[in-house]
Amino acid sequence: MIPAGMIWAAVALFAVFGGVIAIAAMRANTGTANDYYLGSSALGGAVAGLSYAATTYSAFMLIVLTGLTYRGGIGALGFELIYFSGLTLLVIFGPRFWLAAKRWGFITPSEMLSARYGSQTVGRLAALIALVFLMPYCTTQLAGIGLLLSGVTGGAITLPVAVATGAGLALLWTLFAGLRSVAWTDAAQAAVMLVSALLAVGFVIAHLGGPSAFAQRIGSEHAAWLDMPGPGLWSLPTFLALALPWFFFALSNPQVSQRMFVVSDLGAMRRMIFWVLGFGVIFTFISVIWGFAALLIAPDLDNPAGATPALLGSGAVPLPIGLLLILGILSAAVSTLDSISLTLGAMVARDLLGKREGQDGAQILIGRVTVILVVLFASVFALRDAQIVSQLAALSAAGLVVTVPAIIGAFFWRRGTAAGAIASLIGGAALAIWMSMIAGVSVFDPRLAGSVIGVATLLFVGGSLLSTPRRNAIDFKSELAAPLAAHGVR
Amino acid sequence: MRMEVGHGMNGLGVYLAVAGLLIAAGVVLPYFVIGGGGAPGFGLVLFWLGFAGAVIALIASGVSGWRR
Repeated sequence: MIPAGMIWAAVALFAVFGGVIAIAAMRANTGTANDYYLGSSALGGAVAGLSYAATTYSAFMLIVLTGLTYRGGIGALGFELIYFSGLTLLVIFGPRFWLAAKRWGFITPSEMLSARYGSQTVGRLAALIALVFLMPYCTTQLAGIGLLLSGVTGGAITLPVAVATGAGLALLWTLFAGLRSVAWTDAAQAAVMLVSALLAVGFVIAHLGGPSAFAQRIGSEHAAWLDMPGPGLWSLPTFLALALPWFFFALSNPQVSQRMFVVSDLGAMRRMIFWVLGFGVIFTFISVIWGFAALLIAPDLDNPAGATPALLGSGAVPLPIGLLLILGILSAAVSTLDSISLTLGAMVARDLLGKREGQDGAQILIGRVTVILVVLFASVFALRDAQIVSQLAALSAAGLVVTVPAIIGAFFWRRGTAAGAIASLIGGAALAIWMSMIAGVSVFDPRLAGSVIGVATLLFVGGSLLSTPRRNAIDFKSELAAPLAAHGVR
Repeated sequence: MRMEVGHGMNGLGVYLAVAGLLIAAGVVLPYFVIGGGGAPGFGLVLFWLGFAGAVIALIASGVSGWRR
């Protein structure tokens, strides 16, 4: 066990460090909604990339993915790399999102859909769906913090106190300076995540006798974990059930798709993508190696999500490195939570309440109130049950994927209409909720994601063919053709 | 290998086709070719390393034509 006092000291230092960054970011604020939510779309590639990475790679990695590796072996690496391969979508959609936002002044991905289909209802529905499905995802971040801090201290730091700590940090780094603060603290937190995880896994491997001995023991003691489907978890249907909705994460999750709006130019976007790729591949392999190491050091855990606390409490990781890794995981959770809450704040202000240019003060105020409410909601929900981390995280991916047909259609199908988009969003979301909450279909069952994606797509195509595009709809495909060509992205 | 995504729908089509094949390989090969044979080793680890490298190479080729 790690003494609670040492963790509090580390967290206090971390909070001061992040607070200084947030204050510095606040001094650069211009007071406009665009500046608050997008940092005036002037972020460089490194900051944007590290912010994207810290947002998309959450506490899920070193809590849930590690647990999935512990339970099911190498299939966890495959699942996460299929998700990683979803970054190929950025090549196609990154320049299109960026050019559309630059030309029409979009701040949220959902208002982009409203403009494309000529219907505020489309954007409102997309925002509502984001609220409904991202709440569980926020909850998992705080639940992850709770599981970690209470686990490594043997309960000396209680779940409510741990959750309150994470919530407080997210609020501190979001409320005052918006995206600039979030992005800058994200970048710093991404560095903490990567360095701490690299050091921790290095010490664990050394503790196990080095890379060769580690590999030899895995091969001899847990050979089944190196195969697919492995010891039982990663059957092909389960793999598909999890990988399919997560593949579209870069489009379906507005807190990351909004990052395509924030860079200063396409050169910065290219660098952003490379930063995400570099971070992602390293962090993925580290998380999986960490899970295998837990299998050797603590092989009899009842709850695989406890693999990381078990490793940290095993003595294999020196205390300073353990504390740094705890900060790294805390960073992963907080950076995801603050990005989601800020994006939801923008969606509530602009899509649900219809605030626009000339109402910057109101937009920022509504956003701040929303951030507080989202974090409070997530905190309460996290305290009700911390054992459902992996199910809730996966459900959010399956729910948010209903926005994908309308997003693809926005740029590649002129015939797509508001009616089709509305039918797709309502039908897909209703089906996801019904199947999961009422029919009891597990997120590990491919019928859930497959049905949701299939129905959302069919409704979008069918609804569009049965209706006509609205007069005020913007034809992105035609309007963006020239600028895309000018940027070499025709 | 350069996909020339930035130069017409043909470039985009090639990019999509390669990405589709790569991702399909990421599902089919581990279950039906490399894995599942009852004699597990580190073949799947090496495969996933190569898969990650191929994804990075594909994306790098896709953004190579972008102009600021």
